[in-house]
Amino acid sequence: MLAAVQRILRLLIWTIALFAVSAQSSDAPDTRVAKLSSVGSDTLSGMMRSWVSLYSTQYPDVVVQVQSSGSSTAPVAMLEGAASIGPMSRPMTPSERLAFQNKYGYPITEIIVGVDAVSVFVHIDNPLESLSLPQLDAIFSSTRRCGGESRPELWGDLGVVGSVSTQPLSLFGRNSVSGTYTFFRRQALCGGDFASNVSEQPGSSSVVQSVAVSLRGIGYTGVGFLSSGVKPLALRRHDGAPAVSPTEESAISGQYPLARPLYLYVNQPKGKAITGLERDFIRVVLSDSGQEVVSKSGFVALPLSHRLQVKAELGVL
Amino acid sequence: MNTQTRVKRSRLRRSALERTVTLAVVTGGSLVLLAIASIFLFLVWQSAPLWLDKTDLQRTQYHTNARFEAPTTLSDRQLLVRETKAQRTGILTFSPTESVATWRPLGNEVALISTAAGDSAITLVVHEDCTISLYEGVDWGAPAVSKETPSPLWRTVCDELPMTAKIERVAEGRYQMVLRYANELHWLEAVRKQTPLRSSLEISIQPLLVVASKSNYDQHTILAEGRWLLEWHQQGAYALRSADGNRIVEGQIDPLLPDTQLVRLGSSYGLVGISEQSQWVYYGLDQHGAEPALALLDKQKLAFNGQIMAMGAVGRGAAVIENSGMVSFYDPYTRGTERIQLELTAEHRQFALHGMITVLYDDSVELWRVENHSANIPLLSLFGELAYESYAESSFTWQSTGISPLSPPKFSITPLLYGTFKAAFYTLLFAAPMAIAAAVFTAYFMTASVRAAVKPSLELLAALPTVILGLVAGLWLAPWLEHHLLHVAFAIVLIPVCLVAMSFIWRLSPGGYSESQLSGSELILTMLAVGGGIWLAWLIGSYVESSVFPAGLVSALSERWGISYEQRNSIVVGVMMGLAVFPTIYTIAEDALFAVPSHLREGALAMGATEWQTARSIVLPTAAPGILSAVMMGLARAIGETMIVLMATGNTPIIDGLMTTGMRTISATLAIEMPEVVPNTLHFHVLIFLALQLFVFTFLINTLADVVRRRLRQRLEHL
Repeated sequence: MLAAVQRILRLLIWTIALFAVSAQSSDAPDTRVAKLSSVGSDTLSGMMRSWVSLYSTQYPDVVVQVQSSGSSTAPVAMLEGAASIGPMSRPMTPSERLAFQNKYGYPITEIIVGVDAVSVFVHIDNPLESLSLPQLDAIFSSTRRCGGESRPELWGDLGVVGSVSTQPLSLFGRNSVSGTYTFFRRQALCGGDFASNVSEQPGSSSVVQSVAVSLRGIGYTGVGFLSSGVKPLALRRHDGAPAVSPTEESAISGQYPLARPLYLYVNQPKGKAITGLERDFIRVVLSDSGQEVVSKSGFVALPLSHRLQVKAELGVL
Repeated sequence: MNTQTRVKRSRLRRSALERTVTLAVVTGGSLVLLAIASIFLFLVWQSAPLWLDKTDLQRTQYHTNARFEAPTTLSDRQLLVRETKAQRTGILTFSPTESVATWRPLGNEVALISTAAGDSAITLVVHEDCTISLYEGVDWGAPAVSKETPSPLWRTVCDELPMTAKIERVAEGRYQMVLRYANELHWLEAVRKQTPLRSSLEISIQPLLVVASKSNYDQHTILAEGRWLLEWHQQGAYALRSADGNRIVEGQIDPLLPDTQLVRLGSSYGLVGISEQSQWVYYGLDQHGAEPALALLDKQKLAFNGQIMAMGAVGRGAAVIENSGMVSFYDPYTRGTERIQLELTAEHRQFALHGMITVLYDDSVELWRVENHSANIPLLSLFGELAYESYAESSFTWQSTGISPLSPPKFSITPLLYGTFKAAFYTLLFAAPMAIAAAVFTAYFMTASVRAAVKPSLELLAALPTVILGLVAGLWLAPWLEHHLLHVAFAIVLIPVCLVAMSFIWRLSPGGYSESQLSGSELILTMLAVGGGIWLAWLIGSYVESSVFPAGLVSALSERWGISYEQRNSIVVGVMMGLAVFPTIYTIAEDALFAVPSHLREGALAMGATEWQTARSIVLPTAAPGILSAVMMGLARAIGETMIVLMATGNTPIIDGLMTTGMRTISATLAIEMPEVVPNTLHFHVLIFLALQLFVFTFLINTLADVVRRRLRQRLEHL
């Protein structure tokens, strides 16, 4: 009881302090006039923040607002004129593009800024090398929508030999807050539901850590988070198809099945050079340090040749 | 005189101070009570919509110059209709801002038109000259700007005009078309070529299947994101065809009510229909058996008194509208049903139902859009075991986030309640015996000076942040336990054995036996016994593991006894949360034991009872209510504890009592899901309802514990 009262008191004090601070900061008039606003995906929110801080060091007199409440909010905000940059983890649907074109009279500019790839991994001593997507679905889901025949209980059911073959599978994944959770569910489970015995971990490194200490573990997370204790598996689109390892090349070429591009949409005519504040922002995003942000956030950065080509197309060299 | 005034003044000051303090305490106390009451009321108020909420329909009216009939919904702002007088088909487009509907008749050359739902920019058009074309980005309802025909993405020529033509978006960049001819059914797929860095407008078309349309099936729909095609007849006979053309499965469901159909749900795995017995029937594509089939998952009574005019998919489920304007909703995922009367303005009317409700009058069109889908969920669905599409069997499923619309969320709170009490049970199993034993020892056997040192240091455990306990449990204890399970099991058995053995040795040792002279030596001996127990357990454990369970105990558990072992399990939670709960139980139990009047104990000892006999038959029974209340306080703490369960378990919403599996508790669920939930949705209200239950449990247990403790105090005063 006492602890609870103390906690409430502490909370109150913090709230009051916060209010005081925010009231003070809002008093100061903002001398910066130029504004750039972005509304969209929460998968890209971390990268957006890093890009903004990179951008702000170069262009300190521009205010950048970033709101990350989901990819679907980007087209709406851009249509209303509330944002000029829309980060999205999926491409705009043709009807969203059409609505944009009807409103502004020109097609929207789409820029791919990186690739998100989800890797499935096992303990380093597990002899398993690859899985097919139906097998992966059967392991992690309770719905088996991708066409797996039966649910594997032991590692031996997946054709693994050796000491691990008699051990039951131990499943690890992210919790529902994560964009990786949703993407994996959509792509690898064919939109089905996770089995109730998939351990949900609060962070990517926690998933990797859990598998690294358990010989019978299997988990998934973004490619950037792998450590030395785990082994990423190659994936086959269906039984009998060639196995593709999660490398930067396979993710970018689209051969690796659990990869998706990440987009920035800019409210400027497609096919023409970008102008204004957006131009400088895109320049930062496509710069070496901007792409380093992509790799550090656990995504796959764009290859240099592609980047040069895109920069030439957009006129941000 | 002087002294008198000083005394008077000081008395005055004292009474003023007293009054102020009393006032402050009373105000503070009542404020706390008020806060608790308002939290409770807030939770009740916010979870009430689960039973009281109504679907909110918003009406917009558009005036038209002509009379229309045969409406078909193309998108949320376009309607395919036929003008009654001229019998011309065209598109009504509703302005999003003004109440204006623009009518554009389709040219004579257009025979059939279909747009991909959810992607209205893709249209399939069958021309009168028997060319079939696929267009992108052409708005057929917009007034024709130029005379030139837009160029299609794809075009083919047919031999005869199809009777129906439909296009659907089955997945990102994938569309499927079904063309029904008099004798044949054509099923085609259009795929947009894309790699992560390059998506093109180029579309490749491949025919999936051409089948002779049998006379006994007259309706069809695409299931499972384009993997299966379902054909059916009103009498309930159906056939499922796979996209690769290799498999065909025939089956039978209940006959459907005349003038109704099977409505495919947004998930593309579920169907809702109305059976002849006027019941809502919910079917799912069951792929778990040897052959796929339509499995009946739910039946709900549908009360209707008029004539059913239209039926379609609305929100998460399906709806029908009667002649009178009465709309009945059915949500197969919550099993909720609802009836809403629409206020219709005029007589002649035709209805279309697809996403929104469209009513055609002589000179106007009304659109009823679902503004806020009701959060209505029957109590049975919240607690019950339900069958869902794609699931092998009915289950208590908590999958609160959905992938809209492929996989709607499922809310069964039973696994969470179960998990909460499971965690609390294993916590108490670990903490209660240890804390009570420690309390007895501290209160009864320890000398005052030792007690003064030991009690505060044990209570200091409560200061340990639970997030650190959770961290240690997840990162270190859980993996460690997985590798040393057998050793730990032996240690649990061998440590008490060693303790008993040690006490015997001590008793036999010459001169060592002295019950009253407890000094520091017994502590050392206890340590020795515990250490010896652990050493023995490791020795035996390693030997047994290598000889009996060469693959490890974990795989042997599942192989030989079918017991699954999760790395994040109840043992880990029990131990770590036990550490957090230990000080609570220990402190209260110790206080209760220490408060037993010393004359009782002294009397018993004087009568010749031994220390142990006194403790067992006098002190423990007297303090029993206090110990009970201590355990209850520990229970309340364990139920409300969040951080440890969140980090130490896998948060798996399962129902089984095994100590080798994990759980998902209410508190952890709230911590994970509350920050991302959209306010005023079904998910939000369910979470608030969970919070209410957590509040009620902890409040009741705490109150009960306090009542018990107060009783004890009164009783001890009389002794």
